[in-house]
Amino acid sequence: MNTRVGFYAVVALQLGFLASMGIVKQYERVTGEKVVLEVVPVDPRDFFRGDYVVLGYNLSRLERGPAGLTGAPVDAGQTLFVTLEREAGDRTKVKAAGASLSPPARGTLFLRGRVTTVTDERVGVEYGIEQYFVPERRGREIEVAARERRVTVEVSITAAGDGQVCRLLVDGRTWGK
Amino acid sequence: MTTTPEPGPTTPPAPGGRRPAPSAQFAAWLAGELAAWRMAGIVSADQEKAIWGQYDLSEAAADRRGAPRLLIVIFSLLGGLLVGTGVLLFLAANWEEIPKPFRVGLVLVFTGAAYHFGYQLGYHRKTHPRTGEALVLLGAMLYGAGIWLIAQIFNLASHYPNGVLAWAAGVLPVPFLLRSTPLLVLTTVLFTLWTGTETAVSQHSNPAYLGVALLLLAPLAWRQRSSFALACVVAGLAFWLGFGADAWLVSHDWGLVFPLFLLYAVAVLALGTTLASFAGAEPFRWTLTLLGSAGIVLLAYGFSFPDAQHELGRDLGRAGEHGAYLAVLMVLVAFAVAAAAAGAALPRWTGVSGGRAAAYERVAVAVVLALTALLFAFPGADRDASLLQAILWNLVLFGGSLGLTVVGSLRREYSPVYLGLSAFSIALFTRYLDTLAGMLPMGLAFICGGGLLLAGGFLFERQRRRLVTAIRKEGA
Repeated sequence: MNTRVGFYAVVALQLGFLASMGIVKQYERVTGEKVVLEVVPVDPRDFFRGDYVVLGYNLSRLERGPAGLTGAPVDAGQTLFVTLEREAGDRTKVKAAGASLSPPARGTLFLRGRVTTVTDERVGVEYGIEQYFVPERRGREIEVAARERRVTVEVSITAAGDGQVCRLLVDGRTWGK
Repeated sequence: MTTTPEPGPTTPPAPGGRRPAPSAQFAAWLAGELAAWRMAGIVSADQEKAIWGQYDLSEAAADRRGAPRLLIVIFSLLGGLLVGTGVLLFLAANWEEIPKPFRVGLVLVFTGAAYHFGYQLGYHRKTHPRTGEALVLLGAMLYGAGIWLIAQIFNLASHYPNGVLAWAAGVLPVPFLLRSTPLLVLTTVLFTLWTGTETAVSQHSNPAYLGVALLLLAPLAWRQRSSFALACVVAGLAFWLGFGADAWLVSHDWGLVFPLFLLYAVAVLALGTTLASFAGAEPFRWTLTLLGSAGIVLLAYGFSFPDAQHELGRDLGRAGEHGAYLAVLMVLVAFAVAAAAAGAALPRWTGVSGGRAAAYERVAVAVVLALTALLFAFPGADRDASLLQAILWNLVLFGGSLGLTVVGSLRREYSPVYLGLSAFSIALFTRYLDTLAGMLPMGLAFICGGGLLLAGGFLFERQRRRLVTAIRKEGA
């Protein structure tokens, strides 16, 4: 194979991969179903780390047991599908309604996550929406607001359950604008 | 008194009757002298030309001298890195102000430009091969930085080792196409970084790395005749083995990782002796021999302390609980034995023999394997056993150090000699500190310790001079 053709083909593949990352994520952001999740305070030492803030949600720690969301045995590393239902008062906000190891029926609003920790009481889950990048030295103000429970996050969810953080809201208004 | 700069470490005539490329310092000295001799009528213009004709002055030969090439690569790379870092920092710091599509576009433009100009300069027009290579390397780095930057733009927090894998896999074809050693080294480092992050996140070993290292990276290093790239692969496999073992093979008995490293080093040394039976495999043979020997000597140093033996003995007592660990050890032992046996048998078919050096190395392989078996049979859990094991490994340490010196002298190679003498000196000084020094008054202890170092330095220098003289005589 001609070296020059091969080299430029590889470069094109690399650039295509980078471009597709951006295009796919932008498409998912625009077409996904928008919901608002309340941010709960996490360990303050871990909250603001460098250029991004760590976001914790009620969905990040699911209760176990017969009455809980994950009665079925789960292990760390497994994929978990958490079904969401809209709150009665504010239809933009959602809460966890159930969890299973297999995808819910088509048309159901759900988030796909990965089990990180399992204890007798709770199951820790990550959904890929736990980071929000901020300009330098702006993380502390979000940390303070989160401790006061004033922070929410707008998340776009695809039909496959992939979530993406769209906006960070403090007191209901878009932060950073 | 002025001294004549050395033309290089070795000066045997190159193929075709010419001597190797002179160093820049020697070339400058010779040019000045020849000009003076011609003015004084000692040599004619033709004679001056004939003298220069004694040396291989081609660009490729000059490249092999190393330093100027390295300097150009370092300058080019540093310049490119500064530009690349500046661009990324600018984008990262001002991301709120720059629209998303424009940010992604900038990443693509800078990555593509670095690749394009690097290829044009280094591989198409070939006017600036080192700068071109550095720019292509910069392109590969910008590609990886682009993955993280786009992840940042879209606040992606998914399984991040996949990002490293996408980087490594994307870059892999480039060293294959361009036969670039720096790019191959970068690819090897990236795949090793991937296995490290994957293991750290998942707490499971990553068997795919073994396939990548053995089927892709090692053959590429061989194809490019790059000892350094091969050394990176060997080091990467050691990292994978140790880090992965800690995660899944030995649980919390982390001391068990050290015998695993030891047998890996023995297997590498044994493979080196096998390569001694193949013509053209000489550089790789020495890379493996040196890495394997260095690993054995380093671990023998650790095992030479009775306290360390005691700690290790406690973990070794639980080795039977880890079936997979024992299976991996057996595989390494079988590989080492097979490689050493092949090294002994192959010269009959290949007609190439590693000589006495390879024979000594096979003896070393057998001895270390036997002592490792003893380590497991009689772990130093109690004080007497740990002392006995420490004495045995001291013998390995001192014997191995001297053996390396002998093998290096036999093969007229500097590196094993330096490694052996350094290990011997460090081992001797350590044993002096933890045995004799405590029994002597402080002043006398310092005098004896200092004397020991001076004597070691003297012997070191004498051995080095002998070796250099011997190599020069061979080359004359």
